[in-house]
Amino acid sequence: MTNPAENLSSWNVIGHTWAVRALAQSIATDHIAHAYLFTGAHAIGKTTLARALAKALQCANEARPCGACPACIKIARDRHPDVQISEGVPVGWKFDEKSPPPPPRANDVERRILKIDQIRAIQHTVSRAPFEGRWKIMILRRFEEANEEAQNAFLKTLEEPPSHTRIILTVRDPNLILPTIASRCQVLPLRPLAHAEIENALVEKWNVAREHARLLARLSGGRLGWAVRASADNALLDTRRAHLDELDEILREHRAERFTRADKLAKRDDILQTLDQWQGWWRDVLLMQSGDDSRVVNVDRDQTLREHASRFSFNQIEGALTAVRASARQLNQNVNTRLALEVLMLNLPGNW
Amino acid sequence: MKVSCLQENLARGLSVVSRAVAARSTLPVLGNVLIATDQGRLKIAATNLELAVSCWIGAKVDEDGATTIPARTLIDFVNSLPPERIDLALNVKTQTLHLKCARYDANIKGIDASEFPIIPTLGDGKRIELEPEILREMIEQVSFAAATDESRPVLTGVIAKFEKDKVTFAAADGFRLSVRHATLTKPLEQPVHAIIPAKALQEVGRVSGDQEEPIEISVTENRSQALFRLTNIEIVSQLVDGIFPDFTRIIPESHTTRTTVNTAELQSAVKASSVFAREAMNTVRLQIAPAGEMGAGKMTITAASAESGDNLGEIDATVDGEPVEIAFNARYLADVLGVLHTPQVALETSGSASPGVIKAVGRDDFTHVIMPMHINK
Repeated sequence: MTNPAENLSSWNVIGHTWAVRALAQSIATDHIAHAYLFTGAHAIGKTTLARALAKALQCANEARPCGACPACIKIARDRHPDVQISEGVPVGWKFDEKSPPPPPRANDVERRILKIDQIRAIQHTVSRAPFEGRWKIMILRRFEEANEEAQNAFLKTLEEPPSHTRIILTVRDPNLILPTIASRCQVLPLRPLAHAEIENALVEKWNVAREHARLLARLSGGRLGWAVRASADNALLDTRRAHLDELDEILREHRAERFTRADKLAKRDDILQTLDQWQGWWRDVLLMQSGDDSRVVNVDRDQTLREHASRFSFNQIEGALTAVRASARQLNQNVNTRLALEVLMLNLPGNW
Repeated sequence: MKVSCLQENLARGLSVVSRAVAARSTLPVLGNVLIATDQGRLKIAATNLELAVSCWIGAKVDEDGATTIPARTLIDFVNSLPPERIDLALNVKTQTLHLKCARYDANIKGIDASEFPIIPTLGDGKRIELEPEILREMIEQVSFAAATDESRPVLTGVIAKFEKDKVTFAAADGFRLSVRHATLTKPLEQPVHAIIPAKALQEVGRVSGDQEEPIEISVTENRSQALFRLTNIEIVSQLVDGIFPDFTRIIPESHTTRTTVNTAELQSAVKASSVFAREAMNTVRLQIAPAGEMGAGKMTITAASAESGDNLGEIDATVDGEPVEIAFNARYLADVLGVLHTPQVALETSGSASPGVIKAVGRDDFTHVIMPMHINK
């Protein structure tokens, strides 16, 4: 028998090698924690790893997970009767056993709440023995959306789950949940993947052209999930292009025009995303100017980057970067959006 | 798949499995019923992952196959058909089931049978046989006492203990306890204990109405499932994980008063009082007076509510012991009196603050304990 911790390729998880190895080892030695907490940025691979762990636990073959047995296939399709993936319901949604399951999440920024009634339903489910698998596995995604009531209600289950139950929580940032939750789980903090790792995965597994993969890998910030989604959905890149074009236009505009612009921007609901992309842009301009173009993210707009790097002084670029960051922070603190953006418009460098 | 069967048989089979359908689950296939050919018969099955019910009906199988069909659509359609022959044909490629009956035709879209959870079958586990009337009565007398709220999952189940030639069912919800014993015809070598969800047992009771042969019960090796096999029907229930509290300690060993009354009379008096008890936390008081200078022994049943008024009912009683006044929840009394099936009922009490024990007079296989309610004097 081969040591299961040796062969990790069957886990089919890209990156996070140390986490996969740790999990494989704990399965091989039968030291599986009763609850895991996977933390890390959005779309970094937390749920993918959770599914892989569920497969490894339920798989019927010797080399677990095999990825080919009925259990593995059902888990991959979210159709396994003993592996349940739950997440919050839309705000105002009434949850009970008789209501239909909530609609899939419309987008990443949609605000949802994981309610105490859902926790109770999960507690009922885990009190029953698994139906066809070895374990009853509960995956709770985005547990930071659980309100305090729900988190507290879950503490007892987390501390002493029924013997056949394994729980996996995923959280963007462990500071967003009660410390009493985190302390009851084995925490695996997932880190961003290297650019090259994502680039190669996109080319090899998702058949993305090398050049496009390079751009996506850099834009992803080490989040493979995001890169894969962007490779399939051009809208993500299109909005980014529009946002960067917009910045380029603003830099050519005069004060009066910029004020009209601020008014329009304030009405948009993706303004935080826009600011995030602008911040990345100014970082790249700064890198360009300092001559370090190997770490530049926006590789597809090399020309414009170089132009900005030569047009603006170091102080102007650094000032712009600081201003964008300040606006993003202010918006998170509920400052009047239009005022914050007007200040930003005045602080961005111009030809006057 | 090509099968023909009678409308009555299909409709009956679907009604047997219908309670196990999970209409609104995150797994869409749980809202479907499995339709499969099985050794010259048609197997119909449904599961909500807690309870799985399978039913076999007679059919003429021309071509083997299996699929799953949305339960609601199929049941409603089949129930509206005339009692004639139904021809079922599956288009495997589109997973569409074609039904033809008399001059009705329908095509129902299904989900591939491979998505349906695998329902466990009776393995090598120890098989226990019970007469259907006995099992039905045990379920009736015990399962209603199980808890309906989920705060303590083990209490939503019925503890079933099979030891040597004895079987015991017990359920408790924190306010009442119901225990029923019976004798097995074939003694067991090894004891079997399992906590079976009360809902699953009630389902066994519901579908076993026509059963004449003994019902086979088996608990799987790893203790996660209990299986009930009837003629043409199998019910598999997930067991509740946990340890059932030691209920024998709750049953009082002694009493100071034993009161015997007519079951039907007490039932009527409790029913009358519950009209007023509704608005007073369902409290009914029983005043028990032994025979003496005042006349024969009697039990007075009263209820009072600040809004609607009060009432009093009196029934004859054989009282052995001290006079006592005790209050119970009217619903709990009504529940247990409804399942006794004996003309006389005995109530054993030890003062107004101790649990009351209810027994069927003439039988020693049933014990029911109810916690009293507080009485303001």
